[in-house]
Amino acid sequence: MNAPATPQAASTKALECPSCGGAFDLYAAGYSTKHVCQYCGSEIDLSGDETRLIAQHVEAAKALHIPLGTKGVIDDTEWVCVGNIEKNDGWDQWEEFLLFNPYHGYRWLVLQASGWSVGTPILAQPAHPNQSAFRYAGNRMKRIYDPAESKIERAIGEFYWQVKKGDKVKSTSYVGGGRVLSCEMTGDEFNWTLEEFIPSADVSKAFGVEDTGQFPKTGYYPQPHQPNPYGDGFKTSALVAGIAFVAAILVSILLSFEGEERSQAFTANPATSARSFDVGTLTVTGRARPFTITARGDPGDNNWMYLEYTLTNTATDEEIIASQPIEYYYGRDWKEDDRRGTVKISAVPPGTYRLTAEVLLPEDELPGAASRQSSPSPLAISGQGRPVTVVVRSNGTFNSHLVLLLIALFGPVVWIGLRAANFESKRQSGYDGADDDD
Amino acid sequence: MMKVFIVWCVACVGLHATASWYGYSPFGDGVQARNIYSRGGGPTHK
Repeated sequence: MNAPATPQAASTKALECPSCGGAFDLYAAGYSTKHVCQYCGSEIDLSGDETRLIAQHVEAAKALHIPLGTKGVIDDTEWVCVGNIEKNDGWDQWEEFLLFNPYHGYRWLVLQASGWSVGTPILAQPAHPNQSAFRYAGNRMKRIYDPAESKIERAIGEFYWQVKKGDKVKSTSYVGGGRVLSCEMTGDEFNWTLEEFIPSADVSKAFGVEDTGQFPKTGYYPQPHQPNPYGDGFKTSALVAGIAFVAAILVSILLSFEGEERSQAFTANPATSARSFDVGTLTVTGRARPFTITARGDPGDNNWMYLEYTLTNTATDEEIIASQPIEYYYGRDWKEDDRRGTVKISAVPPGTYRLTAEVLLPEDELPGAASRQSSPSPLAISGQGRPVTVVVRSNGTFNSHLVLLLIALFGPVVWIGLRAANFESKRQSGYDGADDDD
Repeated sequence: MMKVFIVWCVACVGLHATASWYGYSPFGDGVQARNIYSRGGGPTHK
């Protein structure tokens, strides 16, 4: 991709191949120095006033993906395809279509197995191509293809430099900021081209040719500058999911301010039979509500107590039962502290409810202990009182809601993230410097 | 694709808000039978 002279204006000129007589149009008359006949492959010198046959070949005309002379609009500029080069570096084979516009000069449309790029020749020398990395236009450009020699397998059409089949050129490429800088080295001359990814559908639409596709349709690895189709989606979906989750938490917090609250402290004495106490009466109006019952007690060291709640609808005597263990155990190097616990009852229908709590102590189960409702066990008489405080609220949020919501919101985000990472992984597999630090 | 995801997020938050409003739990109602109580943990848990 040699650097062209800056075009001023050009006109189309009809000519004939001196070898086969095939008619061809010269699209960049005055700028092209060479034409290769698309019918027979003969090389024609255009640098003088008259066309001159440089080398005569007899090759069958080959159907190009973008036929010479085809016009197409890219970035609001109409281009005409004036030349085609096919290259091979021993690993890959690709085609470069030379586009021309009399006011904008030349562009390259590069067709690789992985997709298309639009290349703009640049006159500047961004770096010496023996560098592994450099900065260009605010981006760190990192070498992705080590310098390798490629051979021109085919050259058809008109060009702004003397090119022919069999020519060899050494080239290397860098990527950064979503663009590729490629450099062709011929002796001490370095010709740089800035390549940008262009979707195959855009090329198809611009020139009216078949859509060749790109990764993953082509099954090849993604181009180094091909935008990750999941990259932006991952960031955006993570942001949307985060906002949605915060909104859900705010809803939960707002709802937690609704409802009534009652609390009652009680001390269960093993020496007496008093075990039940009223926590309070709450009224549910309008809609069903959750009930949150929190107990905090002191069962003593290495001991337990148990609370059984009865929520009674005062109008229907319908009962809802729930229970809560209060425990505190420890050893030399371990501890189980459950002296505070919460139990939640879902969707309690509207009505007035009275909550009573009954305490069960281990002394009540010792052999010889009498019924809790009658006299206490003789073994328990020396026991101390076990204080407990019960708080009941006619509101609350089930953590399972938030867990399910977390999975529902961020599950797709994780999936998109994995797809994005997979895309990058496959892209990296096509780089020479895949293992280099960035 | 992103529009679908946004609709999905709105639906999830709406479902969460509705369930929270009525105090519905997807994993049981918290109601238990009478006299089903724990007899404590302690060293036997280790």
